[in-house]
Amino acid sequence: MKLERGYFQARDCVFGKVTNYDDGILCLARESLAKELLDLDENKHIKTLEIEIVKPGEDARIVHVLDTLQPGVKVEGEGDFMPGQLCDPVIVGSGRTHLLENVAVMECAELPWAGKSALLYARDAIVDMTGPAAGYSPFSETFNLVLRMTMTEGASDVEYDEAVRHAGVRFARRIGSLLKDLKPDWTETFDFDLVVDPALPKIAYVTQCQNQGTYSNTYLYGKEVSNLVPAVYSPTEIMDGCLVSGNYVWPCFKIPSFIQANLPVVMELAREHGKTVNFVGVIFDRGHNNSHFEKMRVANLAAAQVRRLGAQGVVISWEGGGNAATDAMLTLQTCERWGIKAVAFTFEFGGPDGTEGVLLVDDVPEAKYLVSGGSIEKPTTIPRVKRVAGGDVLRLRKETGGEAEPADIERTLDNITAFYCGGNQSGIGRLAGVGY
Amino acid sequence: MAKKIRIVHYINQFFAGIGGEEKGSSPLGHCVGPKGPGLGIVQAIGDEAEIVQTIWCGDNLINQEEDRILAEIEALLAEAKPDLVIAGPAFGAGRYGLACGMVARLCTQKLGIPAVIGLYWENPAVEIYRKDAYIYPCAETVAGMRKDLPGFARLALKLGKNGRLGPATEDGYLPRGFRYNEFVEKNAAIRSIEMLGRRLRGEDPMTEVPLRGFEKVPPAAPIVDLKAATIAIVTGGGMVPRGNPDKLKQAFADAFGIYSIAGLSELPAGEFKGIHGGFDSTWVDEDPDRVVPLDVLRAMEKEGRFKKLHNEYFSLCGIGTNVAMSKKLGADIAEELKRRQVSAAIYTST
Repeated sequence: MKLERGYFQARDCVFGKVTNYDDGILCLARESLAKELLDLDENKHIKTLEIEIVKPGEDARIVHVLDTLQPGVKVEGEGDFMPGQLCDPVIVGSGRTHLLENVAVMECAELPWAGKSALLYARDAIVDMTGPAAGYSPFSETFNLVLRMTMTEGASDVEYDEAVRHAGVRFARRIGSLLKDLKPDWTETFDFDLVVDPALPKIAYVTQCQNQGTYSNTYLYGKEVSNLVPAVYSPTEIMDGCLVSGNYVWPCFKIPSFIQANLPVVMELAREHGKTVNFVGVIFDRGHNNSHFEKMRVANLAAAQVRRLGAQGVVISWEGGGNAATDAMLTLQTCERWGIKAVAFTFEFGGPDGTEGVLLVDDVPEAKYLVSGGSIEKPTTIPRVKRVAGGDVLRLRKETGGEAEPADIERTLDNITAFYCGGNQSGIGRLAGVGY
Repeated sequence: MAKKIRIVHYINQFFAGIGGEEKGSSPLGHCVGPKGPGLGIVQAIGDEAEIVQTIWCGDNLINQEEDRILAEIEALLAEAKPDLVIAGPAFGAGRYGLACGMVARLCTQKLGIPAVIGLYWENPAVEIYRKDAYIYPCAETVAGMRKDLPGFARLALKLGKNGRLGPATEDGYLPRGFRYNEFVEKNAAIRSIEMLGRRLRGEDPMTEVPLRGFEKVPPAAPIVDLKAATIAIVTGGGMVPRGNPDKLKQAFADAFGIYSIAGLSELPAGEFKGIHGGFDSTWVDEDPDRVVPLDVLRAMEKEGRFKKLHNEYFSLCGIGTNVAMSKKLGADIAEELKRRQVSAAIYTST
């Protein structure tokens, strides 16, 4: 497959009379865009929807963050950007796609907590645009188009999940459509039809998603992946948004759709393909399998795909906590036993000063080469901020009552689990655990 | 000209020129300025720092009379007022290494003076004192002195100037076990690809997450007489009475709850709730016995399969808790069970 990506770098985002993109300025007709979304039948469980713009460097905090998406549009080639989402599940990854590089659509809502399962409810996720926690999230560096939503009462979890995602997808697509006939600021071409030098090392990437039920799911071509069998995808399919996130459970451990379409390992290997490496493919699978038997099964099937591609080396990463680490470690172990060199990156534990216990939840003796994505056990103090977007309050600690507290005040959180993408599981963050 | 950094140097009787093993009980001594290896260190340091005093002691004496000798050293340091204390290098020498560690611990933990010691990485003192001092990795024997002194001196000078050092891999000391989050130059994805590239080229790159080692937990001895046994239920599945009275956390447990099951033949739905943040609790809320199997155990109790079911169960959420805390909570639960004369426990996990 061969995909050309055309990138647009916005200089500013503003509200105005008409919605357009002109010379790097994204202008949004605030009221009419919100009305467009609310009028759609598919969004009937959204009671109110307000669009907010939050800019890089602003003294602002965004709360109740659910999924975050990239505005994009297919210009040439089959399918739509984010195939299977309110469109046909057609194989993507060829032709030409236009993308806004530094603008993110952010779904924000207080989804209901009452009566929810102890895992499957939307935890409050925080993005700080400045200050000590800003580095935890790549979205402190983007213009964020926040869809601040309130929901109608009495809908099911599946309906709420679909409602917020559909609003996000529709809006990202609406903004993306503005780019269709424009000339991008720069382009990149990813050509996987090229015959590459056989001497280049063959490398694969295994990316393992979370999918434990509604509010923690990942969508592949429009469907959640409970019964996924590990399979190979072209890097360009990933870039065209075949993976969309519906994972709102643990904020630090989620890979939003925006990042799924720009997985840094995929992007980096794709850029080096044919030059220094032969990037043979992406194996997409699911962690959090229910039993050791199922974990072994998936690990073996994933490793078998790596071997079938003839890879000499593999990078492995996963979305989710300790449970998911087990599936990934078994995958790594299987690859290494078959002589395929594996490197994984992971968050670590260790307590506030790194001295408490072993650093990982699960482990295999073959995991001798690991990159650190930083420790999640670091207390973090966030300052008072001028502005809060996405909502007004923070809801923390549901298990002990979960009272709503003001979101703008200074507070210290015991660890970094509430920070959006703070676990660095896509590898996009520069956060690392460093030994002293 | 800037004020010179004042260093006090600790060595043993051998490097003070008094004698070897046979002089191991020689008393504490001191002199103004450098002595023995200190002469080489001074050369390597240049004129930004000076060794104002050298202290020495027999290795046997300081190890046998630690408190008394350290009190005397403390008094000497109070007069010398150093900015930095260095000790050794002691290479692979066991007792000398321990002496250097003791002096360093006195300085850093009690007196607030930064300290650098030089040791071979397998010196037993490394494990004991690595948190108390920066340890420069030296050769195994004194034959490495000439090669080691410049690095040792450079590390000492840097610590003396800045009061702290950078990451272990950058500044070249043995990791002290501390790990902190930092924003580094390249993201984790790029670093992973680079690490893999080095492996594929046949190199052996250094892992960023240190090797963890594997601990085997031996299984407990079987119960000799089940019919005489009192059995308790312990769960990591996060089942708690409605309202979570102990405010247990749904992840990162730091406490456990003890809840009465006296008079109950099963855990009634609605009265008990699952709060575990790692699995969908719908099915255990529907029937809490799915995670605290009270119904089955009561039936077995009735049949006389064992003597008695303990009338409380222990609960926490086994998720995200680091190993150190897990060990502590496990030991505390075992202690409570022993105090209640429970002879065996069934642990249900999720």
